Amino acid sequence: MSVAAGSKNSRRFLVTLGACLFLWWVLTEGDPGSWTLGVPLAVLAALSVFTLPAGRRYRIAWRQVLPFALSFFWQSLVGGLDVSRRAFSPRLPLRPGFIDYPVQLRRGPALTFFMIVISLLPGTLSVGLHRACVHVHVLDLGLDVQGSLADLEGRVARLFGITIHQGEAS
Amino acid sequence: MGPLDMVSLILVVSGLVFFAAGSLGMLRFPDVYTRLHALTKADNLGLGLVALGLILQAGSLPLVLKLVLIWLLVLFSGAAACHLVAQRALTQGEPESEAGADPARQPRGREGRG
Amino acid sequence: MNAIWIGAALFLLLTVAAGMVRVLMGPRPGDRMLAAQLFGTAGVAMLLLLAWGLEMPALVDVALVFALLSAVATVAFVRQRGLPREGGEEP
Repeated sequence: MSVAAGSKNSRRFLVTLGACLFLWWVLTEGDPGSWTLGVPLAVLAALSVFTLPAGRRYRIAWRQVLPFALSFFWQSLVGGLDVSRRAFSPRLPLRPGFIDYPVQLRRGPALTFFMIVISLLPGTLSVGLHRACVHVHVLDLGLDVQGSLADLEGRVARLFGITIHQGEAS
Repeated sequence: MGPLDMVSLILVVSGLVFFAAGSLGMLRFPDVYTRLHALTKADNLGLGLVALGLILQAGSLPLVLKLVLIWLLVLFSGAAACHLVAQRALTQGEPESEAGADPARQPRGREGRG
Repeated sequence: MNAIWIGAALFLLLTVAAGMVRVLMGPRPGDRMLAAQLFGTAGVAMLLLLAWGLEMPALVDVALVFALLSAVATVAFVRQRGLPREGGEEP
């Protein structure tokens, strides 16, 4: 193992150890008596970075996390209100159908995240991926789904620090 | 009952309304895809509001974080699960409703992973 | 306050029961699987409300486990082989 790989692994070890200790603190609600078990377990879990192969690399632009989270919460509120309004309405206003959205993100964590978030946004549900298109089920074909998906893709790309050509998709 | 309790109560009750909407959508929506919409969106929002209402009653930071963790877990596993159910429905050729049926768009079985 | 939380949990139980009608009606395996989703989300909310209503903090941990397991149940369904392609009746 080269020196560079060694230092990368020790950094991963420290990050994992920190995350495990934090998780333990949350799960035990800060019970001080639990640390005698928690610290050894966290160390053992963090040691697994030396035996398991590293996953696909990605980095998150931490500055973008808060804006993304805020817009995500707002959109999921809108999505819940939208679908509830349709469920309560006596006329049941639905125009469901499938559309294909040409995606620019490459396969990887960013695309997976994008497809999961699609399902939580107003009126869209990701169904599958074939070639460079995300297959999306929409509740109302009258809405500008392509536009809002392009907007979302841009925000996911910024969150993962990827540049895509905005505008081509729509 | 203090003002904080009132806010909690309002949040929890509005969460319950979204759960009711989700169940109603389950019953009324015409096909499996639209029902998935109702479940993912309305129920996740309902759980979020209930959890938020209880967070105001939590009183300790780790407990607050635990409730947030539970909500995020349900949110992402629910979204992924809905994606999988929809994908399976499509590859198994479950039909759309009459209202949404578009002859130009036949369900396609492709690169099925399952 | 406790009675309110318990009442809210009971209300959720009723909405789940309404959702169960869809499971009984089917008509397809996918529709039935939606019920597991419904139970997953509403069940977690019920457990959280009961944790406060009954003053049993351990129920929060039960809700956490519930949240983890409902995802596993759905994946198990999707990966399952041998379900009928047409019609909704189990073999």
